[in-house]
Amino acid sequence: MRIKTPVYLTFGTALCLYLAAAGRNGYSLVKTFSPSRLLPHSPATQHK
Amino acid sequence: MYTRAYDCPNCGSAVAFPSGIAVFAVCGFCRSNVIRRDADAVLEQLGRQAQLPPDLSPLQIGTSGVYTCHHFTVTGRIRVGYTQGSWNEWLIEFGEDRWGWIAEAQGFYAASFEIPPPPDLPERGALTLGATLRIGEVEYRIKDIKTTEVLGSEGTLPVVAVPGRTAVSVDLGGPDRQFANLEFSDTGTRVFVGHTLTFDELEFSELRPLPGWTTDRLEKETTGSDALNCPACGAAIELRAAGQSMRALCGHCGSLLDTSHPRLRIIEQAIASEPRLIIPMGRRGRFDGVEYACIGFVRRRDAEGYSWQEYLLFNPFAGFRWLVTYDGHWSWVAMLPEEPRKVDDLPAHDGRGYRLFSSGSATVTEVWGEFYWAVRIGERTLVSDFIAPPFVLSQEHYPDLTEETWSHGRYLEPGVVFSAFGLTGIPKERTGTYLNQPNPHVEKGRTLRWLMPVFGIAWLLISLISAGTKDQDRAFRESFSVDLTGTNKTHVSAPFRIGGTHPQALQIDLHTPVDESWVELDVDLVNTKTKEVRELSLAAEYWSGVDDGEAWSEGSRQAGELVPAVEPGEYRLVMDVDGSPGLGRAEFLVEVTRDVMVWSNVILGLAALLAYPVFRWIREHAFERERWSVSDHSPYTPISSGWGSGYDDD
Repeated sequence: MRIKTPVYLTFGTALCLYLAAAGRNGYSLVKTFSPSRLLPHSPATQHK
Repeated sequence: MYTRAYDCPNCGSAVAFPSGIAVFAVCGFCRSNVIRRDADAVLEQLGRQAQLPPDLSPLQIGTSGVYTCHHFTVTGRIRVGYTQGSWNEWLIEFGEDRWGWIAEAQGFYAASFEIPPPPDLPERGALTLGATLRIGEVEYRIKDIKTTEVLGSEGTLPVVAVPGRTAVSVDLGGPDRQFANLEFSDTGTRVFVGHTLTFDELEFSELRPLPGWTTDRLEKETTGSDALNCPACGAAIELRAAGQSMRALCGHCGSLLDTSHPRLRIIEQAIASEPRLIIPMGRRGRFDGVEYACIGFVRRRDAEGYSWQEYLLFNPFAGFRWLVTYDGHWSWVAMLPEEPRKVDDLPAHDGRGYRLFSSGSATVTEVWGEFYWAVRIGERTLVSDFIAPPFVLSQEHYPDLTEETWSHGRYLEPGVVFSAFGLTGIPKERTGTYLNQPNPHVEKGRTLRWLMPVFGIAWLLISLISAGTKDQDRAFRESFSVDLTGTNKTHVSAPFRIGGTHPQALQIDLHTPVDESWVELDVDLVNTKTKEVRELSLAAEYWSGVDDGEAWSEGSRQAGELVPAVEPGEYRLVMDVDGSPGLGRAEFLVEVTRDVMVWSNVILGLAALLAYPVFRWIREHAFERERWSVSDHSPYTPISSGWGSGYDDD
């Protein structure tokens, strides 16, 4: 069988693999770039 | 082997009767018609006949072949003519007085054998074109009814075939290439049944050398057998399909000539001038491994004014083919030996169903070269085109000829035509979408039609498994009451633990009993060990009232936010609280649920998987919509766009 859409095949496979990984690790497509930072002087440290 | 030779009653030369079935022979020396009245060899001469006109048939007396595993030898020929053309009937003998006929016309072959006429065979007058007729177990359809005349004969024959003998010939086609012929003449009714075959299927050998095709072209020039002169202007006429062509245009004076006889006859004088041809007359090109010569050109126009060009190609072994071109599009067309079978009233061919695209009349407006039928300017044909791109089936009905033909075409890239004929220049740019032009999006769409469901099912399974294995544990729940009038609006929660062994999504929810006010939290989720901070914002507001006696409300007393991929560990929430001016205190509850399902992944991923197939589907259907926009039988609702750049394909 000839695959006429190799790019789509690759894309779909990658997307399915991503969903499987996201299902396990709680990734989100929407929040792929959700903000995070390190907090050297956070108030949290003051309350520890 | 039975062979008896007698003296010709006219010239005394030996006339051989190689089989017991032969009752008629043509003396090879003086061309006398010799009839053998009985086995005692009482010979009778019945006039003489002229030399048969030269033709390009690859068969000859002495050619052998195979039919249904039985070897045969060609021993005689009758040249039969009718108003629109002529063909050869070759007598084939299998030995032991078993014999049959091979009809050869325009590259088609039909082997048939005489059977006794069925007792219920209708009279000639009761037969009409298209009617069905059962002979034995086979139901045939009448394809052609015509009056025929013997033009000449050679060799020995089981019938008396003197020139001028007339009959009415009825051709019938049946399923699986079955063929039958009825012959009504003053000597009675004869019935023949058999099959249509290809040249290769008959496994011919001892074929006739054909100058220009099987032998050196120089021989053609020296024999001059097919070089004739125009009776109108005297210019030399070279017939490229001698013996098969019925009409030719004089390349010098443009007169239409009858070429069915060696003595050319003028049909109409000076009716044409050489058109602008894409493929020059006589140019040879190779298609599917077979070399064809371009011998004729026809331009047709339909009732709506669309005009297209047809180039007639010829190979003496393969017969005739057409190259049809319109607005830069090309199709390779071959006549079918039989009518395609019908499925739900639509034709099917080679396992493909076809849909009616157009039907109407077409009129010949221009001709050049030579033709195997009696073409004339103004000739009208009723044409129906059925398509299964890249293929097209065309049904042509000739009202004047009580004849119907079917042909099968396939779309060709213009470059293929130019390359095959060694044409210089750039092919005309294609305009619009042609009726059998392959949809360039179909191939990809075909793959997507199975790939998309595969991904969809995989996507669903992964989602279900993922959702089914989530812990969805409450990790934190605490109520807060914050004085908004003070200076310190930052609150830090007690530490809480996010369990598990791998990163997970957290759902952080805010519940607050606000009314006509709002509360907003800028939250930092702080890992107490790594100091990594994840930022989020939660805002809840609730408004309500009565307008014109109607109660309304908007907003919500709760808000939530998902924090993806949070590592297990100990965390605190650091919250900057803000609220409506005048609210005073902000009362709220914060909940943290760990290891929740990220449903947005399911929705967005599915949308991403669908996007490309939907895009291709739209492209594919846009192409089909454009194709069908000029059809009266479009499955789509009409749109305003037109087809092509104009009416004339010049």
